[in-house]
Amino acid sequence: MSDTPERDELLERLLLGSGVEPIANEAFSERVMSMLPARRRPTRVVLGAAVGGGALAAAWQLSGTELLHTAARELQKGEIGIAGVAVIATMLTLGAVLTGWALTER
Amino acid sequence: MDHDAEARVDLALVKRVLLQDDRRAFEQLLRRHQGLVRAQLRRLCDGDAALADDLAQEAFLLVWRKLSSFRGDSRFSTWLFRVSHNCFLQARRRSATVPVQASPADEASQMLQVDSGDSPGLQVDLQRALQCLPEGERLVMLYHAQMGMSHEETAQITGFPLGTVKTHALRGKARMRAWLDAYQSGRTTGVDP
Repeated sequence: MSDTPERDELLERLLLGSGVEPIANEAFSERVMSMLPARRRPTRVVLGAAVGGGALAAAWQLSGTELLHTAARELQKGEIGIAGVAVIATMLTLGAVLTGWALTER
Repeated sequence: MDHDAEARVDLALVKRVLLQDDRRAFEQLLRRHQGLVRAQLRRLCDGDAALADDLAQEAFLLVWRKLSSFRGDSRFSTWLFRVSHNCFLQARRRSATVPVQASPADEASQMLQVDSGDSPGLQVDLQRALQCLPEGERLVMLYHAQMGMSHEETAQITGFPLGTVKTHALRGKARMRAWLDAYQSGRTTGVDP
């Protein structure tokens, strides 16, 4: 056959009708839905909650101790001494532990 | 419903999944698209329905986990086809059971016998002829000519550059035209590699 529009039209029709038809569900969707895991929360939310939780846990652990009062006095004077560094280090450590735990559990 | 309206519905469902953690919205997405995704994968897997369904399941579970990476730059269906296409490629890389494109030697051995020329026989032989195309052309013919995707969408799904998609489409159609000519003139033929 020569290069004819009829031939091209036939080919187009054959290709478009050549079996890429949607397949009936047959419980496929139900099977996939039953396997869906819990959705992960965005990393930003997890990290924010972990850092906030770490700070709160550190404040709770240190509340009533001389270390926290000393650090507070230092901050009021506008300086950070050993007590301040210790409080910040405690907060960061607890925050890091909580962050690691939160990321592992995701 | 036209394509734009379908795309808007998909986008609304995606937002419900992401913002409200709405599983029913995801189930709607799944039901709307599972038929064509499974059909796409059956074509890619040379008709192996079980393997195609396993890959479709893997693709939808991946979509559930990675839905936040859908930016809305393309239609959701295009993005979904890309995810399932990648699942197929990964499965093919890790396993020898997933069909691999026939080698040129195989293609030569798959010369087609011309039959009576009736429509069912023609469709069957057309499928065989498509399987004999080089892989790039075969993929482009699947998405562009058989599934009706645009060149741009085909490029997004396959990861081929747009120019390559257009070239593959032209060459693939030229080979299929030649095949159809030979078929209709009653000669024994295959697709020229």
